[in-house]
Amino acid sequence: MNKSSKNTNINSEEIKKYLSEKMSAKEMHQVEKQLLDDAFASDAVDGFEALNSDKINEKLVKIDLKKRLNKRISQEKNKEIIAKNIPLWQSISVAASVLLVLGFCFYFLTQKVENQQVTEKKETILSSKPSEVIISKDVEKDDLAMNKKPINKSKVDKEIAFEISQDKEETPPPVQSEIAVAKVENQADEKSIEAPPIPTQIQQETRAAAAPKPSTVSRESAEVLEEVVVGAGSEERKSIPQTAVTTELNNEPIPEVGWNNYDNYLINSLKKTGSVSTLTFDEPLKLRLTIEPSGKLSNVQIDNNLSKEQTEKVVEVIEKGPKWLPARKKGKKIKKEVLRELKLK
Amino acid sequence: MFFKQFRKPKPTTDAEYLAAYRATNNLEVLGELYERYMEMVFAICYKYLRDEDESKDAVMNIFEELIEKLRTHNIENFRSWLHSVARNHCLMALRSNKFQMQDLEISDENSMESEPFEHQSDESFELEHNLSRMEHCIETLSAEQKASIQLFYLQEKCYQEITELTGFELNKVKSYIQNGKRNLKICIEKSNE
Repeated sequence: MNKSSKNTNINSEEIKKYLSEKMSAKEMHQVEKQLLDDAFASDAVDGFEALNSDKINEKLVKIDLKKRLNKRISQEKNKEIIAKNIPLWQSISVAASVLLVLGFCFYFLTQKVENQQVTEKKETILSSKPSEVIISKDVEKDDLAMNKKPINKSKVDKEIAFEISQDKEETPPPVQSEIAVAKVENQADEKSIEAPPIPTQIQQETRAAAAPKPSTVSRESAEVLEEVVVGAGSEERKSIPQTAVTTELNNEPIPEVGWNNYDNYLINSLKKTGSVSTLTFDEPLKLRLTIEPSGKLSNVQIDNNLSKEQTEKVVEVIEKGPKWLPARKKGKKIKKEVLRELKLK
Repeated sequence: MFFKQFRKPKPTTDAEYLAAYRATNNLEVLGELYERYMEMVFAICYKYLRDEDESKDAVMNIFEELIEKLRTHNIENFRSWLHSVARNHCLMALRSNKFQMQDLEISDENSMESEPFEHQSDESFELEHNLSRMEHCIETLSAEQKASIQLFYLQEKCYQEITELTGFELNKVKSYIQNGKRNLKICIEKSNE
């Protein structure tokens, strides 16, 4: 009973062993008993008996069958690999990694370009800022230095300097009103009704040089003012607008103190020397200056018909005058010639 | 699915293999299972077809049948199911090979003889439980069947020994035992009623 209740199924090896009669009688009985209950195995036994009687090499058959089975399975496997595995996780991961790499490349490239742009901007800002600062600072210094003049004159200068440093636009309203007032004052025979500082300024200037002063003020200011206040045409001077000084990063050489102050200085200095009277100049004073990259003046020429003595004095005034900022080209200081016409009347 | 294959332990029993195949449709799994029975299937096919190459083809065709059927069918006893699939396939093949009609008849006879035992594994177990009742039933068997059955079941002799002891032919011993067993079963069932 124990043996028969053993529920192990007979396999082909046991059958072959049974058929080869290499078993004990007991073992054979055991197999036979199982075969009675196992139709599959007993059918197979019949088959194996037939194979033995036909002397068919069962081992070769087995090898061949295994080969065919494996071939069949690998065919299916290849199909599955092509149809399923690649689209599922491999292709997704490949696609994802390619996208990642492309994304990183794009990110870093754009980042680099932005950085370059930012640094370029910084450079331009850095290169432009100092000159502005210098201008405004030097304006004040030079004002103090060169203006051994009436206090009100230096006041005007200071105001102008302040305007330059604050915004480089043309004449702001305060000056305009001051000058307008000044005109009124002038006509009202030096009797000031308005605030005291402005009248005194005008009075002194008129005293000093037969009223040429307003013309310089107007030159610094807008043309409108020039016409209204002075009546002297100064359209040519428009060609050197203040805005150009800072925005164009001095493509042309400019005086460190700015053109307005420089013109004032020249006029005042020339008056001071006494050798050059504004009365002698019916036409504007034509200057030709060459500014070296170092900021030094060279080859100062005056294109007016002046005596040698007068020319020398003018040249001396110019050479002693405010320093120059050299012209720049692509950020480099270069040598350049400046033409300047100065109306003295 | 990819990770499942690594996580799951390798199947060992037929049922585990079948479940794994149904879950994954992986031919490798089915191939492993089929390889266990391939030789026996080949032997069965050879029994019916009596041709090596035809039997080999039949083995592969039966595998194709399994691929399709096992995807949808839930098989409890793979071994007996495989037997019927294999036998039916071979019989169909024989029917198409008309020149082997004679063999077919013989084979059919053989299969008829073995068929009653196909689904009797539980009952044979019971058979030994009811030995007392069986003793009575044994007396109803023919002399040859009775001798063979007694030698085989009670004295646990193998077929070879029985032939030597009784002088019957081996084939006859087989059929005496098979038919005697069937008769015993019928007798016991009757006495139980």
